[in-house]
Amino acid sequence: MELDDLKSTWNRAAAPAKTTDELLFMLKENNHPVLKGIRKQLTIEVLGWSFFLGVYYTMFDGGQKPLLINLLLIAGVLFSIVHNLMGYGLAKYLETDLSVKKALAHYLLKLKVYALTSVASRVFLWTGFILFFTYNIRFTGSKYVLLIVAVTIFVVQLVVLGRIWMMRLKKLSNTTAGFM
Amino acid sequence: MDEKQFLTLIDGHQGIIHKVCRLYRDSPEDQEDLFQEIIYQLWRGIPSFKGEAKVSTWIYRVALNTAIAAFRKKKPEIEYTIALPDLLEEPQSEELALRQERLFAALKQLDESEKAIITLYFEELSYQQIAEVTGINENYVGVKLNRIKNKIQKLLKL
Repeated sequence: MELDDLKSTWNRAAAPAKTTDELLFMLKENNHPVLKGIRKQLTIEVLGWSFFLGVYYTMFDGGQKPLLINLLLIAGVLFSIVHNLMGYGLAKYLETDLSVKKALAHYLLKLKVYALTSVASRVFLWTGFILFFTYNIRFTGSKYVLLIVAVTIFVVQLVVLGRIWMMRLKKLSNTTAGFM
Repeated sequence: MDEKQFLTLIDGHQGIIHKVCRLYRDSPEDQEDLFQEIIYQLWRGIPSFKGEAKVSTWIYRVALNTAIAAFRKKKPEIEYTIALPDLLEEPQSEELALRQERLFAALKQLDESEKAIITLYFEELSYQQIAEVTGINENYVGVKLNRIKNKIQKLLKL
């Protein structure tokens, strides 16, 4: 294909035109494919965590554990919810009045903060859980094994999460550099 | 601007939004989702559009920002529908379809910034407008475009 043909081939690329009703449907936040997914996940998590916070104090003897450990557990859960809300905001409020280069630079900065929050919230949550459920426990051999398994799972999850974010940030950073 | 005016505005620019989606996403489901995301971002951004730039320039900017910045992708869902998919605006010859397929396959191998610049070039934007949309220095646009054109030629010869 000659270079001169490229433009005409591009210009003749037809696409199925959306109807007014279809376009109207797309204007509603409730129908946004990504936001809808995040909202669904957020609703499930908030309900689950609310139930947990409602019963943990009696079901898992929160009253017999120090206030600080209780607070750490609650803060870990709340942090996790806040992190999800941040993700919602990040997907919803994309820059629309800046050049691609500036918008990407802003987005990269926001994404770095979000990545840090993502890892920090996971650390907070797991630390709260492990401290809460191991406090006042008399460790036997099998309990130590269980603890090691739990901590290993936690560390592996954290490493995977960290790597995913590093890759995302690197990709976006390279893209931003392409506009320099 | 009310919904009706906005939809009239968008109606005339659907083609470019579709092309951006085709260029930046692989599966039809992802392309459809991106199209919806772009329309939503345009609608959300319309109050801050001051009319300093041309409407088309603004639409290109929002479409490219959305395509490049959105990192979350919804898992494709299988939907069963009794309605047939929309027909293409014009019947395409087999040869044209093949040429488009080859062109888009080559364009998809470019990096994100190159895709953005060549899209704007194909849409007949001047170097100044390309610079305005992307934020790249106007003098550098020509240099970048030459590199991209060479790259595409090599890719199409493969």
